Amino acid sequence: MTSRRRPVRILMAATLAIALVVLAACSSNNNSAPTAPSGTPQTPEAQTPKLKETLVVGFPTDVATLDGHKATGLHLIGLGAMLGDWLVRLDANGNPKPWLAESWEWADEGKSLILKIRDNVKMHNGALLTAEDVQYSLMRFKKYSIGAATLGMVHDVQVLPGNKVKLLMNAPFSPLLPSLAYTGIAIYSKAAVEKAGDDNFGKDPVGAGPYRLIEQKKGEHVKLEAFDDYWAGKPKTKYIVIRALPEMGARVLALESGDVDLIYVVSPQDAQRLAKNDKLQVLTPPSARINRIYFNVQRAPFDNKLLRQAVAYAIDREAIVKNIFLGQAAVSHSPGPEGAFGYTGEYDVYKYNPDKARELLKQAGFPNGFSFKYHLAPGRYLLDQNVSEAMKAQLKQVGIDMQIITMDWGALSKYLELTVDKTDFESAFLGWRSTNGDVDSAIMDLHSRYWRPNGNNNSFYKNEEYDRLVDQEESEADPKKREVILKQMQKILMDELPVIPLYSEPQIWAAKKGVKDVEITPLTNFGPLHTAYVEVN
Amino acid sequence: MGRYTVVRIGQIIPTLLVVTLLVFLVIRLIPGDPALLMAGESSTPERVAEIRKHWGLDRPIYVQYATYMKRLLSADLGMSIASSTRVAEEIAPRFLVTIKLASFGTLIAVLTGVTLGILGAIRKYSWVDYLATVAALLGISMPVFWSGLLAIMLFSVHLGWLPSGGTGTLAHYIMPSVTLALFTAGSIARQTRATMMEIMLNDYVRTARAKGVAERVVIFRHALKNAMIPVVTVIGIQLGRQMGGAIMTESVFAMPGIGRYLVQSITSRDYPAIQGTILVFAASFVVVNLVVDMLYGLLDPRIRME
Repeated sequence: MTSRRRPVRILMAATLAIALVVLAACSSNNNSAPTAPSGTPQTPEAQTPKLKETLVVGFPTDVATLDGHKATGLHLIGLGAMLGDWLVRLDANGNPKPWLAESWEWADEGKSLILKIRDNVKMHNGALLTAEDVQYSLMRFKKYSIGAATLGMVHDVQVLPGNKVKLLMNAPFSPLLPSLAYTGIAIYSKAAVEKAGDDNFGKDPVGAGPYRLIEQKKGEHVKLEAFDDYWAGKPKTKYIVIRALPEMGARVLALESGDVDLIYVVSPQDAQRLAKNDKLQVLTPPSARINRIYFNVQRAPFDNKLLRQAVAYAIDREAIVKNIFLGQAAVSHSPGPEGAFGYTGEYDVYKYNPDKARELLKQAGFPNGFSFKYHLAPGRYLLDQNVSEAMKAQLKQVGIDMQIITMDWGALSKYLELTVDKTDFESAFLGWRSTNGDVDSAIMDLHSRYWRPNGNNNSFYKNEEYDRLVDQEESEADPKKREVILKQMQKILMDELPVIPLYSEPQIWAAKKGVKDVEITPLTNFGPLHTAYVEVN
Repeated sequence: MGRYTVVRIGQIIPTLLVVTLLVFLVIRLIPGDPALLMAGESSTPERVAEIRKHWGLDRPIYVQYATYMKRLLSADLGMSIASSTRVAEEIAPRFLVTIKLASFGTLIAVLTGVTLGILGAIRKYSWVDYLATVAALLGISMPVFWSGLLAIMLFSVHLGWLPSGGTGTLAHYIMPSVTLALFTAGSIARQTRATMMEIMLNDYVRTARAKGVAERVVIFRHALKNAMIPVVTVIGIQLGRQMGGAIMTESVFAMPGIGRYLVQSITSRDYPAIQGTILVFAASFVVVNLVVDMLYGLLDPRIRME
C-alpha cells in the first residue's frame, strides 16, 4: 500500500467482524464429547464439526432488485452490493483496508485519488475485473444510487494504464477513501450491465462477489451459490438462501422454529426472549445510525434556540434507552455516531433536567409552555412510535405540548421536500447515519448548501461559521487538524441544536448457535460473507 | 338465463373501466412521489426530475392515463417502478398464491361454518349451539395477525409439525388457510344458523316431517337448500373479505401473495404495480359476484326467470 493513507482509527468502523464464540449446547442424544467453544483447543478429541450446506437468512424486506446501485432500501443495497463486491472495506478500527483496490495514492494536491485494482480478479461471467469495470461501476453508482451523495464530490473517473483508476475532484476531500467503503458502492461487470440493460441488470447481477444468484422466487426467496473462484478464497458455505420475512414477528418465529439460521432487525423485547433460548444467540454489533429530532430553525417556534434547548432538557433520553430499548441502545451525545473518526460527546450538556427546561421556557417568554407539530413515519425506525409517545409525555411535564402527526414514509418524504418558503414543517423524528466511519458524513448535511431539496438539511440550518468549518474540514489532509475541526463543528451543533441527537438505533441480529463468522457492518448489512458458516450440532 | 348471463358479463367491462380511473386518480392523490422515494433522502432535484421523466411521471395526468389505457387494451399492465419488471410478471405468480390461499380458506370456512350453523339451528340452545356460537364469535373477533402468530408458535415452534412460513408445499398452506378460514367461518355459521332456524319453522318443513320424511332429508333437502341463498351471499362477501384478510395472512406467514405485494407497492408508490394489483383484485371481486349471482339461479329457479 503506497501513499498518504488517511488513518481513520477509532472503533465504530464500517466493518466489524463478529466472530461468534459460543457453540451450541450439545443435544442430549449426542454422546460424543461436548464441543468446545471455538478457538479453545482444550478438547483434543473434538472432531471437525459438520457444516451446513446452506445458510438461510430471514431477510427484513422483500427482494425487489439485486442491483446494489438501484435498490432503495439499505438491506437490499447491501445484499446487491455483496454480489458485486467492494473496492475498499473498513477494518475493525475504521481504517480503510484494500479489497478490490489493492493500493492507492493521492495526486494533484489531494484533488485526485488513484486506485490500483487487484489483478486477476475473476468475475461470475468468467471475465477478469478491469479498471473499465470499476470506472463504469463508480459512475453508475453516482448516477443511480440513493447514496450517490457519498461520491458527490467526485466529478469524473478516469482509467489509467496498469489497471488503475483515477477519481477526480474539484477540491480535496479527505474522507474519500473510507467513503469508498460505503455499502452501495458495488463493482459490477460493465459488459454484463450493458448486455442486460440498466433496468434488467438487477435480475441477475454479475460482479466479483463471493456469491452469485442462481434462483429467484418473487416475494419468497433468492438463492445464492458460492463463487468458487472468489478472489479472497472459496466461500465456506455452498448456498445462501435469502428468505423474505418482512413481518418482524414472523421473522423471529421462523428462527425459533428452526426454519431460518439468521435474522436481523429484531426488537429488544424479542432479543431478550431469544437470548434465553440455549439454541440461539443474539448479536448486537455497533450501529452507525442515530435517531434525531430535526427542528425547522427558520420558523416559529423553533427559530428560538432557547426553545430547542428546553425540549432537549425536557427529554429523558436515559429513560428512553433503558425502558424502551431495555438498555440495548445508547444515548447519543453528538449528532455523529460514537466511535466514528472525529467524534466527541463532551458538548452534550442536556442531561435530563425539567427545571432547567422550565427556566429556559421562561427566558424565552413561554412560561406556560408552547405547542409544536412533530412528524413521524411510524415503523420506519425501530420502536419509533413508543419513543415518540414517551417524549410527548416527558415534554408534557414541563408544559410543552408535542402534537404527533403520523404519515407513511412516502408522504413524509414528499412533505420534507418542500422548500423553506413553502413548508410549515416544525419538527420531525428522523434517522441518519455515518456512511464511512467518519463524523463528517453524519453531520455535513447541516451545511446550508444542503437545504431541502438539495440535500438532507431538513432543519434549514444556516450558520456561516459552521459552513466554513465543513468546507475546511473536508479539504484538510492532516487527520489531526481535521479531528479538531470536526470537534468544533460538533460543539456548534450541540449548542445550537438544529437537531437533538437522541440515541443510536441498535442493530440486533439473532442466529442459531452454530452460525459463525458472519461479518456485519455498522450500517446493518453483511460483509462479503465468504467466511460465514453454520455448524450442525 | 342465457341473456341474463350475457348482460351480467357485459356489466363487467364498465365496472372495471371505472375502477381503472378511480385507482389511477386516487393513488396520485395520496401524498408521496415514487421518484423521490427512488432517489433517496440526500438526492438532488435534478436526479428526482430525471427519474420522473424516465417513468413518464412528468407528463400531464390525462396523458399518463391515456398511455396506461392504451397499454391496458393490449393487455399490458406496464412496468413496475420499484423492480423494473413487467407488472404482469410480478403479479401472476403472486396471484396464484393468493387464489390458492383464498380458495382453501373459503372451502374450510364454508365446511366448518355451514356445519356449525346447522348444528346450532337443529340443536338450538343446547351446548352444541353455545359452543358453535362461542367458536363463531372467537373466529370473528380474532385478528388474523394474532391468531396466525399463535398458530405458528404452537405448530412450528413448539410442535414442529408445520413450516412457519413460505409456500413450497401443500403443508405450507394448512396454517394460513385455517387462520384465514377462522376469520370468516364465524360469519357463515351465524348466517346459516339464523336462516336455518327461520326456515325450520316454515309450513313445508312441518308438512315434510308430518308425512314421515326422515329428519336428515328434511334438514338437507328441504331446509338447507332454501337456507343457502343468504348463505351464498355471505360466502360471496366473505370471499371478498378473504382477499382482504389474505393481505394480513400473507404477511404473517411470509407468503409471496398479491396482498403483500399491494402493500409494498403502496409503500414505494409504485403506481403501475398498484394499478395492476388493484385491477386484478377488482376483476376477482367482479367474477366472484357473477358466480354468486349465477348460483342464485341454480338454487332458486324463480330468480332465473327475471
